[in-house]
Amino acid sequence: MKRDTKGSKKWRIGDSRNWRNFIKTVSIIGVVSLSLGFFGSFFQAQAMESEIRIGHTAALSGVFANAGPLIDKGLRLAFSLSKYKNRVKFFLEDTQVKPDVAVQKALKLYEKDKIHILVGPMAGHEAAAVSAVLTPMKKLMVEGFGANAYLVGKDCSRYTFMLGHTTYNLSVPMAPWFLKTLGDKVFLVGSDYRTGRDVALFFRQAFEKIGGKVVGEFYSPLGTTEYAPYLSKIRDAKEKPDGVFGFYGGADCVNFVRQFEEYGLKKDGYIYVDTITGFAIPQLKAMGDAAVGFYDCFHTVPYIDSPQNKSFMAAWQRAYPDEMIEEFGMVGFDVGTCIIKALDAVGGDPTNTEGLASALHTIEYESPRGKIRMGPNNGTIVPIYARKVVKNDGKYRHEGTFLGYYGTPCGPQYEWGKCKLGCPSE
Amino acid sequence: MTFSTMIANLLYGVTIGSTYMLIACGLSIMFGVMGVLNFAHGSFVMLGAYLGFTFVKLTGHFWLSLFLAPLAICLLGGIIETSMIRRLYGQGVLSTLLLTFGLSMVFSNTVLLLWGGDSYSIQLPYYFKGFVNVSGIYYPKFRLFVLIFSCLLISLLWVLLRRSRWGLVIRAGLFDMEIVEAFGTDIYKVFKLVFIFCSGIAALAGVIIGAMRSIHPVMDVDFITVALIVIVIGGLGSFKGALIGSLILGMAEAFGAQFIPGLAKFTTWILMAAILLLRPEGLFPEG
Repeated sequence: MKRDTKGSKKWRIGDSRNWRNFIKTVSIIGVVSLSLGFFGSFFQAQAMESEIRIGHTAALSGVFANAGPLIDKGLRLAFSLSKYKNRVKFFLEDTQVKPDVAVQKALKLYEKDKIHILVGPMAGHEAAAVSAVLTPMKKLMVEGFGANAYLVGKDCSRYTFMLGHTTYNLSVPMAPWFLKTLGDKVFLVGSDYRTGRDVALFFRQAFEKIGGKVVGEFYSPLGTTEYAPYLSKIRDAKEKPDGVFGFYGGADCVNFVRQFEEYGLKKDGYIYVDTITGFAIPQLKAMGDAAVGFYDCFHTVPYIDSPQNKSFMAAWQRAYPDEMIEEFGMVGFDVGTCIIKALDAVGGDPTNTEGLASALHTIEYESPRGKIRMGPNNGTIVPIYARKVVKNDGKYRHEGTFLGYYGTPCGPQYEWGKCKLGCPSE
Repeated sequence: MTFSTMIANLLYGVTIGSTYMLIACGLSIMFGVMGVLNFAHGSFVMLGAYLGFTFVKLTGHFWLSLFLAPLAICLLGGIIETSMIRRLYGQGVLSTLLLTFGLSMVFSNTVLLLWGGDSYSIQLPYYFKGFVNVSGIYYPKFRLFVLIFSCLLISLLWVLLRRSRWGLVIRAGLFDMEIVEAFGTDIYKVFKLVFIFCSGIAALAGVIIGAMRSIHPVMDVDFITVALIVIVIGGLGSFKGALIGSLILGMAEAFGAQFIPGLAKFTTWILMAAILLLRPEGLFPEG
């Protein structure tokens, strides 16, 4: 078939009319693109200006991998219920429970993602590293879990806030409780890193002050999987302890408690008391019955009967029907709520770092955990509970004993020193 | 340290070592026969544990899971060998090491995606719960089973390697694979079977370990580290070396925890450095 080329418009070199058309078309496309780019950038900048950018350095892998996503869910839930729900943008990063990675991710979030507030990281040694880098930069860090007492002591900062707890208020209140409930002889254990060591040290100081006696101690490397050789030290102690106290978190706590039972210590009447929510609800399903009858210490008891907690539980179940009510999500929710309240105080302007810092410094509110108040050293004063693990209708729950409201005092007489911002009384 | 504590620690060391044996022997055979240093071996252990947990949850049968999880990982091993590893034979250890390192990261994230970051543990049948008390030494029943089971399985592997035709081919392959091929053996078939078999053993170890300890998404790193230390101590590619290396490592962990608790993990590294200084080729080098 012969193709009819008659009337076809082919551009030929040297045809000045077609060249003019070509240049005209390219110019129009160029102008339109540039305009779109300009207005796009303008509107994007406008959108970014109204955005509230929250960075979260969480433990999504490593021994605390179970906690990170739950804290994040709680944080998002708090914002989804606030007036900022359409303005907030979250940036989540995994720190792998490594301080160097946590610092790198925190800097990336502030410098590349242009966040306004950083939440996390998870572990105490990570928190210390990140705060040391962010403080000179005058960048905000709001901590839900990193239980480092030094961050409300000599390393405190106007820009770092410990909204959850410290190694002090989750160990010292347990000393009189231990003496009264279990006895005056304790065997100290723990993961061999800052948090594990601090918990044992602060507990020992408080326990010995009131007449208690430490009959032995050991600290095993973070991530230990076989505890049998360590557990034999408890049996070999010169005096049988009335209880074993210390901090193991995440997968370490699961292994420790299961082997504590497997090697017959539980059956022989040894009682283990963990802290910093070692027996959190998500942990208990992996431990099974091994944890029943043991205790831990935390600043909330899931399913506690208060209006704030009831509304939190209802919101959580609506948002995450497949997730249990548990401690990590609740702390994440609290951290989110504190940030929202601070934003309210500065008229919703997330760029007002000084205003946000001042608002967080004086924050006080009724949370699902109970009444929360910020101390002068940027550490919260929270209700503390000794919690016994029980099994009701096949479900693992906690029976909480309220020990009182505790913050973290500071001063030269304490290991963690004096905070330049001020110190709450003991 | 009392005499009974020492005996107890010997027992703990042997049990820890016996689980390491299950993990390391597969890695060692794979390296010896195929020249593949499979960095994803720890991931196979982890996947075995997760699948074992899921199968126990679905079926309620521990023994069935002990069969099904390794079977699934054998299948996965077969697919990986055919589709990926095979293309890299003869291109040096580094290329397969990099490939399997990448695979281990993929598996790690897949586990996080499918099972989340929570810790789990495999529910044991009632008859494995509790402990036996042998003159003051408390020993969990399941760990006793693990000890016996590992010893039996390793003995079976030993007999297979020493007495069967395939064992002969594998042992010959440890020395010179090209000669084996020259005698008319399909070398790729041997490679595939070895890879599948070693993956299955890793998964079997995973189910057992998942019932002893917690299952979590970074357990693969612990296992591959341990397995690499064991095969370096024992001698790369040596089955006997892997067995002895596992026991040495188990003992070092048990007694290290007893004498220098904070540095228990450090003892394994010191031990490895000391052995490598004295015998750079490992304790029982093959070939």
